[in-house]
Amino acid sequence: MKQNLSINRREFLWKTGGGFGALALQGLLADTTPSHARFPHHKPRAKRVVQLFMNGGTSPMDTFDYKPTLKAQHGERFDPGEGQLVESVTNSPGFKVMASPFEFQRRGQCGQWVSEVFPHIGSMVDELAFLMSMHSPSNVHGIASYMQNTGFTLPGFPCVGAWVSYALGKINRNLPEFVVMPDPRGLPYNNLANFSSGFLPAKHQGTVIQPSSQTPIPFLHPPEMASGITAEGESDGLNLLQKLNAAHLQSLGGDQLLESRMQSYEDAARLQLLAPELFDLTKETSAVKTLYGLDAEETKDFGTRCLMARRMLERDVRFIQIWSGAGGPSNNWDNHSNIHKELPWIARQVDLPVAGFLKDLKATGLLEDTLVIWTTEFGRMPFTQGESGRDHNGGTFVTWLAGGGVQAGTSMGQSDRWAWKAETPIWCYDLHATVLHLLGIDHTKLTFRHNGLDRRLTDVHGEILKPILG
Amino acid sequence: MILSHIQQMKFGRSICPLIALLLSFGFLPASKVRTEETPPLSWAMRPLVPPELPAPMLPGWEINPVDRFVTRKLIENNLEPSPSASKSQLLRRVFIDVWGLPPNLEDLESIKSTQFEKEWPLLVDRLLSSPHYGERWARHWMDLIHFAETHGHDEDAPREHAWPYRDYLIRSFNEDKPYATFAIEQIAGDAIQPAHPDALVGTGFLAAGPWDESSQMGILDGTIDKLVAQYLDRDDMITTTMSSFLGLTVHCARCHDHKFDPISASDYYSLQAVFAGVDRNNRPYDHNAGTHQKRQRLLHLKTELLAGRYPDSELLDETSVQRVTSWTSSRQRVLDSWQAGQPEFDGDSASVGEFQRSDGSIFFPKPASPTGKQAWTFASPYNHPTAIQLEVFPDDRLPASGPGWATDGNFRLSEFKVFKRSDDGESWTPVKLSNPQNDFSEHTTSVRYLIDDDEQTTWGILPQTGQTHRCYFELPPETSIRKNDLIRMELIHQHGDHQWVGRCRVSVTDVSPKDTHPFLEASLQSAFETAAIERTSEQQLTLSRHATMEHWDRQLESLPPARQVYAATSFFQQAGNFKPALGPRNIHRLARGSIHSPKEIMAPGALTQFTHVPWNPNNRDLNNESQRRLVLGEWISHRENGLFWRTMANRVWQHHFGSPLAGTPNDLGNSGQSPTHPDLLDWLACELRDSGGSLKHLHRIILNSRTYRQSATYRTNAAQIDALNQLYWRMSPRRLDAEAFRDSLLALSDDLDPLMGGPSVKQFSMEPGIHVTPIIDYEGIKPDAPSLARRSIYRFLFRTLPDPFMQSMDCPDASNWTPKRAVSVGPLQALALMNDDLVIHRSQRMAQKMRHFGQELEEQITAWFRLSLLRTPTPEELDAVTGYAQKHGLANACRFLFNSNAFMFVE
Repeated sequence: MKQNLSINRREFLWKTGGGFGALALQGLLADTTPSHARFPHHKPRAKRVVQLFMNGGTSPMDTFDYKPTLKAQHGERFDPGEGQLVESVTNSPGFKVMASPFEFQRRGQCGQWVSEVFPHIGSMVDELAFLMSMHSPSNVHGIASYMQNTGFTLPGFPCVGAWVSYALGKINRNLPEFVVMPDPRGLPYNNLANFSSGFLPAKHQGTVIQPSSQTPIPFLHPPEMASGITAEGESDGLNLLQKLNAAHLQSLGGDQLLESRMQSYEDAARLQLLAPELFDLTKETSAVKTLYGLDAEETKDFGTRCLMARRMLERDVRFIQIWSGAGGPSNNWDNHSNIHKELPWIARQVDLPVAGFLKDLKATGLLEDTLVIWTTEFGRMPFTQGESGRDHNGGTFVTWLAGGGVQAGTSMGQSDRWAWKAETPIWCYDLHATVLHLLGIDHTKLTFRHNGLDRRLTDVHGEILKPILG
Repeated sequence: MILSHIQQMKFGRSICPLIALLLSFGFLPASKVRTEETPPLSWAMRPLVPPELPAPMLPGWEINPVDRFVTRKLIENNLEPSPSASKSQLLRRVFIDVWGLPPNLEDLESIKSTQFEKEWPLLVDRLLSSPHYGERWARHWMDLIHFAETHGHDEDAPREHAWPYRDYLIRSFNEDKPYATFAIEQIAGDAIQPAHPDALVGTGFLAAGPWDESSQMGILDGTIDKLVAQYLDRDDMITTTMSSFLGLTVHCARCHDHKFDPISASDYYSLQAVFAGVDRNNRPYDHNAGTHQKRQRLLHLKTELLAGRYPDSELLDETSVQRVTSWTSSRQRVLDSWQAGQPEFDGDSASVGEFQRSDGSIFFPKPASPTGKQAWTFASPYNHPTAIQLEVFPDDRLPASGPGWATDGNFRLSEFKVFKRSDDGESWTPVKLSNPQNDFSEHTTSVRYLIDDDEQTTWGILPQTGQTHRCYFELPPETSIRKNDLIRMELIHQHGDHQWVGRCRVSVTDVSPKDTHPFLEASLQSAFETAAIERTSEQQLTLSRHATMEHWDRQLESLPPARQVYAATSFFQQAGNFKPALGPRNIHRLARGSIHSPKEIMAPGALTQFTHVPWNPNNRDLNNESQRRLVLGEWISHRENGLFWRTMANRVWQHHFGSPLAGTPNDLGNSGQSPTHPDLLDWLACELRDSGGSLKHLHRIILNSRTYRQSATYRTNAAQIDALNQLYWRMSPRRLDAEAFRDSLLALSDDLDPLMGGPSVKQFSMEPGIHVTPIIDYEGIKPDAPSLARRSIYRFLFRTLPDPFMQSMDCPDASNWTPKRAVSVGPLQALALMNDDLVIHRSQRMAQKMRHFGQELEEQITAWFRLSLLRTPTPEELDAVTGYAQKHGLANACRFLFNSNAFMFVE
C-alpha cells in the first residue's frame, strides 16, 4: 500500500509537472526545497531583516528597564521572597542588590525609559517597539546564544537567517541572501555555529562578510600570492568551462543538477563583478558618514558595518546580522567586573551608529519594508558580582524591533521590580514567530524533516507578538 | 481518497504538522488520528526473515541476487536496466566509491577490456583489501556520529586525543571486524574486553559529539543549569547510539511517548540510566596488552575507592596498616624538612623583627609608616632548595591576636619576593616563584597576587584572624642556591593603613615538589595529627584510603607512559566543576522532559516493546556502569534485532548508490520512508547477519552486481516512469564529495602523502584565543605545507570553525548527525572551487606533471584527460582546452578542468 502511495506521487508529478526538466528538478532537489513550499503564506509586511546582536548579555536594568527598587534596596541582600532559589552561574557571593549607576530619562512621545548609555538610540524610541521581558532558559553564553539564534539550546540547528533564506530565497540573485558581519575583534560565542544552516543545505548558512578585510567575501578572488591569474583568463576560463559542461551535459543526456552547477559559475562571476561596488564607501557623502559615526574612532567600525548593511538592503540582501562584541570574557557586553566602566565603553561603540542607521533607513524609505531587530542572548543580575559587576541572567532582558510591520513607539512585557525575572516571559520562539510572520511566513508551516522529526524554527512553541504589530 | 491516505498515515508516512493542519480545517475527527494505543513495530523493527529470491527474469541478470531483486522491480514497472558503463567510467566509479581516490593509468591498463567480466571481481577484492578502503568508509561513519576534535559550544577547546578513535574506525573497517563486535566495542569496549586496548579506544564513539565545557566545568554541581547539561550530554550519547546502530529516533521520546514508534518516555529514561556513569574525557590506554590490563585494573581500583565501594576490610588489613605507618612517617619527614634560618636584617628593611628561637619565627614591632617593606636574609640550609613557604602566626601582642598589625588583626601583603646572591656576589637576583598554594584567602585577595608584580593587589586572611595561615611556592629547579648561600626575602606592604604582617616564618625544603603535598584535605590532616593510638576507625580508614591511593599512584607511575583517547569514562581528574561520576548517577524520569519535574529513579533498560529482543543482564552487576552499557550493546547487536542489520545494510547500499533503499537512513520507524525494495533490503540484512557481520561480504555482492555496473546515461522514457531513479534503471551520476575531490587533486598531482594514521594534521594556524577557544586561520598555512598533503580523513576537525572549503562542498560541520550529506550547488561553492589555494596550487602541480607527457600542449592536455578521467578528450574538448592553455597557461587550464562537471561528477 505504501509502495502504491509513492508511485501515486510519481504519477501525480508526471501528470502535473510537465516536461522532464521540471520533473527531474523536483526529484533531484527534493531534499533542498521547502517541504511546504508556496511562500509567502500571507502578505508580508517586511522583505528584509537586519538583526543587531549585542554579544555577551546586555544589562536590561542599566539600559532600558528602569528599576527604582534597585536604588531603594541598594546594598541590601537580594531576597525575592517566597523562598525562591537565587542562583548565579559563575560566582557572585553575597547577592547584594546593586542600583544602576546610570541616570534614566523618559524619552520621546512614547516615554520609554532609557539610560544615559544610549543617548542617541534614546532619541529614536518613537520608532521602536520594545519587548521588555524576553526570557532565556539558560544562563550560559553558548547555550543562550544558540537559543536566541536557532531556538534550540544545542548545536546543529539552523539559525533564523538560514530558515529565512531556505523559505524565501534570494531577492537579488547576485548577492548572498544571508550575510553576517561579525565584530572584527573576534567571532561571537559558538563561533560560526551561530550562523549555521544546521541540517538545512549548506547554501543557507550565513555568508561571513568582513567589510574591513582584504577579502570581505571568502574566496571572492584568488589569493594575492597566486600567480598567473588574470581577469581575462578568468573570463575566458568561464567560457571554456561552460563549453566543456555543455558538451558533458549533452553526452550524459540532460540532468538538472549539472545545469545548476553551470548556472552557479555565472552567478559567481556576477558576484565578483558587483562586490567591489558594494564595498566602495567613497561615494557616500560626508554627512552620511558622520551620521553613522565613521569619523570617530570608537564608532567607526560598527558604523561602517551599519552603513554596509544599508547598502546591502538597497541591493535587496534578504537577511543581515551584525554583531557587537567578540566571544570571551571581554570586548563585549559581558560586564562581569564593572558595569560603570565596561557598559558605557561598549554602548558608545553602537549607540550613534544604530541611531544613524535607523534615521537613514527612515529617510531612504527602506525602513518601511525592512525589519530591524536589536537583541542579545540574556540579561544580567540585579545584584553585584565582585565589586560592581553583574553576572549572567536569563530571567529577563530587553529586545527592540523597528520597521516593516512594527507598531512604532510601543512596548510589551513586564519584568519584576528588580529586572531579575520576567513577569510575562517572551521567548525567542515568540520573537522568531513574529519575524517569520512579518515576512509572510506561518512559523508552524515552515518545516524540515531531520532525524525523524519535522523540525521548526519555533519547535512546538511560538506566539505572534500582536501588541507590537502595526 | 485523501481521508483514507491520512488514516494510513496514522502508522505510515505521517507528518504531524500536516495532520494538525487538516484537523484545524475540520477534515478529520480528532479521534481518527490520535490514538492512545502503543504504535506498532515498524517494518524494519520486525524480526528478520530471509526473503525468497525472485525468479530470474532477464538473461545475464540472474546470477547476482541483487540483480534479481532489482530487475523484478524494473520489469514490474515496465523499465529495463541500462547496459554496462565503459571500463574507464567503471574504474573511476569503483575507486572513488571504495577508496575515495582516483584510479591511475596502470589500473586502467592492467585490466584488459576483453577479460573485463573476469577481472572485475578480482579488482573488487583488491580494492576491498587495501587500507584505503578503511580510510574512505571510516569517514562515512564519522558523519553519522558527528565526530570532531573540539568540544563545540562557546568553549570550543581542542581534543588532542580524539584521533586514536578515528584510527580505530579505519582499522575496524579494514579488518572487516564483525559488525556486532564493532557495535559492542563502541558502546562498551572497556567492559567486554578489559585486556584489549582497541576495544577501549572504540568507546571514543560515545564521546564523538559536542560537549558543553562552560556548563560542565564552569557551573557549580547541583545547579539546574548543571543538571540540564548532564541530561543533554547523555541525550547526545543516546541519540548517537540509537540512530547510528538502529536508525531509531529515540530522542523524540524525551518529552513524551514517541508519537509514531513504540518507544515510551520511560524507555528513553531507562536508556539515560544506561549512560548514567559516563562523561567525556581523555582516557589512558596502552598498546601493550599486559600494561593495559595492569593500568586499567589500577584505575578501576582507584575508582572503586573514590566511590566508596572499596571494602573497608581490605583497608584495615595488615598490608594497609603498614602502608599507613610508612606514609605517616614519610609525611613527617617532609614536614621536618621545612627549615628556617636565623634572620639578618639590613638597612633596607623598614622594620627589624625579633627572632623567636622557640619556633624560628620573627615578630615585627608596630610599623612606623602606613606602607613599606620588611627584608631579611638567611643562610640556605640546603643545596638546591625546592620550595619555600611563608607562615603567619597569631600573637597576643598584635591587635585581635594578629597575625597582622591591622586593627582587626588582618594584614594586606602586596608582594612576596625572594632573591639569591648574583654570581658576582655584589647584588641580588630575583628568584621566580611558581605554583602558589595556601590554606585560606580573604574574598577578592589571593596568594597569586603576591608574585604578580602588581603592588595594588594583595593577600589577606579576614575574617580568619587569630589563626595560623600558610602559603607555599615552588622554586625553579635550576636555582643554583647551595647550602649556606644567603637567601633574601622581601615582604612588601603597599596597601596602606599599617596593615603589615606581625609575626611570620619563612622556611625552605629540599623535598621534590611532587612529594611536598603542602596542604592535605582537612579530615586527612586531622587524622594524621592524631596519635596513632588515639585514631578513630574512621580516621584510620581516611589514612588508609590515602596511603592506598598513593601506593596505586606509584604503581601507575612505574608503568610506561600511557596513550590517551578522548572517550567515555567514569573516572578522570576533576577539572573545575567537572567531576567524574565514578558510578551510575541517579537518573530520574523527567515528566514532559522538564528538569523541574523529576519523577521516579530509572533502572537501566532498552525498548520494552521489542519483545523479540529481550533485555538480558545475564546476572551482570548493573551497579557497575560499564556493565549497563555492555548489556545495551548486546541488546542492540542481538541476532534477533532485525533493525540492527537492516540499518547497516541500508547504509552500505546508500554509499554505493548515492541513495539508500529506505530514504531516511536514521529513521526506519513508522514515520520514516518505506524502502523501495523491502525484500532486497531484508536479503542484504540477512547476508550481513549470516556472514558473521562481514561488511566486505556485502560490498562484494553489491559491487559485483550488474545493477552497480550500469551506465549513468539518462534515458527520457525511463525517466518518465521513474524520474528519481528509485528503481535503479541506471547509475545516478554523483558529485564528488569534499574529501574525494580534495584527495583526488592530491593524488593526481602526485602530492598525496601515503602516511596512514596518527595525530590529526592541523591544516590551519592556531594561536591562543581570548578565552578557551583558540584563534585559527585556514589561510595561515602555505599551500605547499606538508600537512596539507595528507588524506582528508586525517584533517583535524574543528567543530565551530570548519574548513571553509570543505564546508562549501557540503562536508558536515559535526554539530549534528549527518546520515546523508546534502549535495548543494551555488555561487559561493563555485568561488571556493576556483579560488581556494588547494585548487590553485594543485593545478599548478598538475600542470608540472602534465609537461612530462610530451612537448606539445595537445599531448599534455590529453594527459590530463587520461589521468583524471581515464579517457581521451573529444576533438572539441581538446581544441577548446588547448586554445585556452595557449593564452592563459596550463595551470589555469587545469584549474578549470578540475571545476568541470566531467571531473566533478562520477558517472
